[in-house]
Amino acid sequence: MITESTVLVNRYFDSVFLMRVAKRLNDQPGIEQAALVMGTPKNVQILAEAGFDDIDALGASSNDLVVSLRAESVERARLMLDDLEPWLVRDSNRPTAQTVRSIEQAIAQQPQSNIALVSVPGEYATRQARQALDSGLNVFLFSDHVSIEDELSLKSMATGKGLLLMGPDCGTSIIGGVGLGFANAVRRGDIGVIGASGTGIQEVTSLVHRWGSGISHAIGVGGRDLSDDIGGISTLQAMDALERDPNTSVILVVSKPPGPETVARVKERIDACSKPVVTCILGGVGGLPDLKNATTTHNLDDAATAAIRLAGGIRVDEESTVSPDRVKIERAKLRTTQKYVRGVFSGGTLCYQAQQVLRDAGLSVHSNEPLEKGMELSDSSSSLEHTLLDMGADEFTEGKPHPMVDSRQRIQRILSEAADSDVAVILLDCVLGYVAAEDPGGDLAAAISDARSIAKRRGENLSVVASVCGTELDNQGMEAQVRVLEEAGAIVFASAFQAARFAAQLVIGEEQ
Amino acid sequence: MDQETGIDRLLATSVAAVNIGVEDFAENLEAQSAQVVHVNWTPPAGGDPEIIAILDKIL
Repeated sequence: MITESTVLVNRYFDSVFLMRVAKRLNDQPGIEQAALVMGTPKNVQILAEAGFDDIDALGASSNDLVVSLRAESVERARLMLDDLEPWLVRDSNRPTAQTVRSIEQAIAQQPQSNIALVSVPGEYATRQARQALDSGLNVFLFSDHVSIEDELSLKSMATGKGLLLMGPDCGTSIIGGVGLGFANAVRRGDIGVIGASGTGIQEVTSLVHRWGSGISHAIGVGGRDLSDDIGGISTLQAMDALERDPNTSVILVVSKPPGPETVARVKERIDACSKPVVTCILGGVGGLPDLKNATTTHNLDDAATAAIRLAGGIRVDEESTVSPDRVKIERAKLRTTQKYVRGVFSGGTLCYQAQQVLRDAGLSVHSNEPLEKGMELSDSSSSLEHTLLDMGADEFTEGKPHPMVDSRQRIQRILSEAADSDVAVILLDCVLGYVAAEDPGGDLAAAISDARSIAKRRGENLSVVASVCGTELDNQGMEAQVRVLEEAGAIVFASAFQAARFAAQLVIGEEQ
Repeated sequence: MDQETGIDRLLATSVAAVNIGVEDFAENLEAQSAQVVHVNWTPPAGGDPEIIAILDKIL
C-alpha cells in the first residue's frame, strides 16, 4: 500500500460533508483508506501520525482541503486525486436552505430566529457561539474541543441573557418536535428530557415514542455540564424552562453521576420542582441520593418507563421477535472456551450503559471509555477478555468519519473480534435518525454474517446481539433495519439495555 | 410570574434556526419543515488564530 495526498487551496467544507465523501471514496476499488480534512495544524498532525507521508510538506492552511489516500498503487491514487471535483458536489436532490455570509445577515433575513446551531471546528466554535448569544440567540453547540474555561464563560454569558447554551459537544436536541443534530423522529408529547449525552437522548426519546408516549422537548446540555467545573448551569436552566413550559408534565434527566459539589445543587432543584422528575444516572448507583420528588432509575429503559407512567400513560411494548428461551438455546451452541463479550458501539452512552449492565451481572469489563479508571484498555486497538468499545471516541474519529456516519471502522473491528476464538458474543448498536448513515443496518449486516462465518469455519457459533435506536418515523425505517440485521444472523432487541442484558446472560454461566 | 426569557420563547414558538457549520443540519431542518437560514461559514482571517484575536480586539 502507498499513500498519496493533495491540497485544494481555499476550499472549505464542513466535517460531516467530508465524512460522507470519505465514505464514498473508501468504497472505491483499490482504495484502502481515504482521509479528507481541512488543513488545520491539528488535522495535519493527525494525518502525519496516521502514516500519511510528507503531509507537512504540502503546506496546507485551515482554509485548504487536504485529501489523503492509502491505495494499492500511486497510479490508482493519482487517478482519484486528480479528478476530485465530482466527489465534492452536494447531492442536488437534497433541500437547500437560504444561504448568507454572517449571523447578522441571517437575522436580517429571518428576524424571528431563536436558535443558532454552531458546528464549526472547535478552535472557532467559542467565537461563533459568543456572536450568536450576543445576537440574542439560544445556541446548540455541536462542536467539540471547546475548553472547559470557554464552556463556563459561554454558559455564564448565556445565563445573563436568559438564553440557553446546549453543549459543547451536544449531539442531540429536540425542540418542539424539531430534531437538532443527530436526533430521531419522535411523536410530540408531554415528557421533557434533559440529557448530558447525544445517544442517551436518542435512545430514551425513541423508547418513549415506541412505547406509546411523546416528547415535548429534549434538551442536550453537554457531557461536562454536571461536572463541578460547570456546576450544572444548563441543566438547572433547562429544568427551570421545562417547569414553566405548559406542554411539559414530566421532566426526565439523563446523566452520568454529577460532580460531588454539584449533587447538592441539582438535588435541591429537583426537590423544589413542581412537576414530577425522573432521574436516570448511568454508571454509578446513587449519584443523587434521597430525592423527595423524583423517581430514581439507572438505565434508559426504566427511565422511559417511569416517565411514561408519571405522564399518565401505559408502556405499550412492541412484539418481541426474541423468544424467552433464546438464552438457553444460544448458550447451548457455545463451546466452553467461548467466554467473552465484545461490544463494538457507535453510541458512547449505549456503550457506557452496557458496561454497567455487565458489571452489575458480576463481569469485569474493559473499555476505552471505562466505567472505572482501572479498566481502561492500554491499547484501544486490541480487546481483552470482556471489552466494550466506544468507537465514537476521539482515538477512532480523529481524521476519520464517526461510526454513526460510516460503519467502516466498526466493520473491521467486528471481523477482528470474530477471529478470536474466546469470543462468545458480539454486542452492537445501530443508531438511526437525522444525519446518521442512510442504511446503518445494511452496512453492518455483511460484517455480521462474515463474522459468523469466520467462527463457523472453526466449528463455533458466534452470537451477534444488537439493538436499533430509532423509530418507524426515521428515514431509515425501524422495521427494515431490524429485518436486515436479523437476516444477517443477529438477535435484535428493542433496546440497548435489553441487548446488553442478554449478552451478559449468555456468558454469565461461565463466570459463576 | 417571572419575565419571559429567550429560552421560554424558544420552547413556546417554532424553531427558527441560524445554522453555522455543517450544512446537513440545515438540510435536515428544512426536511422537517423548520425555518432555517444557513451561514456559509469559512475560517476567519484564513484561519490564523493570532490575526483572529487581533480582529476581535479591534472590532
